[in-house]
Amino acid sequence: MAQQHGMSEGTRVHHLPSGVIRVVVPARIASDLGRMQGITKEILGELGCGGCHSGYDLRFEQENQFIINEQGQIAR
Amino acid sequence: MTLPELGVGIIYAPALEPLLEAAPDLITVVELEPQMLWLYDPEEEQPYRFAPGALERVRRLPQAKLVHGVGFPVGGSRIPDPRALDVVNQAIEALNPPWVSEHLSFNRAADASGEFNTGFLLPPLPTQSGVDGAVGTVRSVAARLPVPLAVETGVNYLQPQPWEMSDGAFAAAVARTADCGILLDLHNLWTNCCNGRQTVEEFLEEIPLERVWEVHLAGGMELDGYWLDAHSGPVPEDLLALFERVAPRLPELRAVIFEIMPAFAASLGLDAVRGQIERLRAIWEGRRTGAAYVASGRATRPPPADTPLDARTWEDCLGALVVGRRPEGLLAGELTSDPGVAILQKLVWNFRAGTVTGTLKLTTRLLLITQGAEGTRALLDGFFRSSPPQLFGSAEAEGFARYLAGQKLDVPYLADVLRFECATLRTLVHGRSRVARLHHDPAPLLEALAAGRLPAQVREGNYEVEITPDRATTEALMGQPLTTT
Repeated sequence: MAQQHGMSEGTRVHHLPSGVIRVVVPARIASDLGRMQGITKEILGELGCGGCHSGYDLRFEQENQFIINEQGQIAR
Repeated sequence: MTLPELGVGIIYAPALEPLLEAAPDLITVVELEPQMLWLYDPEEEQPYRFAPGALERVRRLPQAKLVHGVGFPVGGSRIPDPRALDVVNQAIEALNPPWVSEHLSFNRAADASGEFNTGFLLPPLPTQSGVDGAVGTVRSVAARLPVPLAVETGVNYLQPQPWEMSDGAFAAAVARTADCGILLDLHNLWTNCCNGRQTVEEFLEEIPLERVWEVHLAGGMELDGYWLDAHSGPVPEDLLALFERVAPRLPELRAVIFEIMPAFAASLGLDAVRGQIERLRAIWEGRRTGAAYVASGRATRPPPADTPLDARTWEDCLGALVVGRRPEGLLAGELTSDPGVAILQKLVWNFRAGTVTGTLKLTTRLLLITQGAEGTRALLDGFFRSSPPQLFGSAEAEGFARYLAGQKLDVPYLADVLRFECATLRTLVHGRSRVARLHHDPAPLLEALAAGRLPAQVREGNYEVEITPDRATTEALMGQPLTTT
């Protein structure tokens, strides 16, 4: 399942006797999933304190623009 | 006290490592903002720690190292969490900086609901009461450090008031009374001047220049008529020219640091970043031939008559306003009429929204796709009103996830996506495997969201996603280096 969808190398799938399908994903792959189209690949900078600046944070607006662009492509 | 000359450098970011490794003769010092590489686990007695391998990765760079705090400023009347200083000291032990620096600002306030983080570095009360509060904090922090402390001259988006000390007089009084160094952030002073406060030259006339050990330079951007200290690009040419005039007047200057946010370094490109450092190095090398040093700090104007305001009242009122609360009283009324407060509120809102976006990327995408930008902003608004900013991104993400879970929203897949992202965050923070139980096949769901769309079809069922820490987790935490062109 996971490999079929190209979830990524390092991912394993187990069909448990209970019927549950368990996908094992390294944290590296899991965090990359959310960032493969993103503006930053530095997850640590996201988990820790913000940097030393007093400026305008663009991440939400950039994300919104990304979705608008994607929706536009789907519509076309 | 004689400190070693470190030369010209840059704030550390993993993406800059190729440049740092390729140009050790040009870039002779790198400055670490330690809290950016920390993980935060409030359940632990010592909640702060470096991400595995992060400190070693900085230590092995060929440059001399400096340590510059970003989370526990020393300009307010509240003493920062001593547990954080223990972890700063780990960085000092590993990197051997000749001095460390922190901001002459505050980021803690309190009201009837308790103490809270303000989400932004805010200016201390510029009166004798503010000086007294900052001096007490600087002394307390400096006493716990094994190396000297320098305080950074901060940004202030508020309009100057007749009852205030000037910014230069305030910084001078703190540095002299607390007997500490000064990190002269010229872009901060430039920003303050652009926004109606004291000029850089006036500021320099008032401070003891012989206490300046370090200079910061950066670029900024404009928003709503304000110049912002955004670290978003090259240093303005006029500011470079000003630095060239100022550098010869700083007899104890030991380091010059260029500051740029990693996202902007990526768009500027490493070659352009290198070009900026070459400009700074040329000024650094030429500073000895400039005008002779003249002992400074004698031009300090007498402070205006003090006001009955005390530092704690100022911090609590300004802190409450910028996080969107509505404190009452004369001071609150005066501050609210200052357009700088509206700018601060906007910056705090955007910083918080950016933090949620950065930590819960797939959740944010799902909300934007299903609720639209306005609907997502309304949800963020609701969360921000219900909960003050968190210092660490992981804590802000956990808070937003809890808020969303309590809203009983009719958003397809939301519960699954939140469980997946929270499990990933917790694995990264705690270093232990986490299992997220989902009701939809995770692969097509998550991959569609990663591509910015809803999945066409997702099978329902009982799925478990186990997120495991692995050998490459450090690399995942630290991100990928930029490549040179």
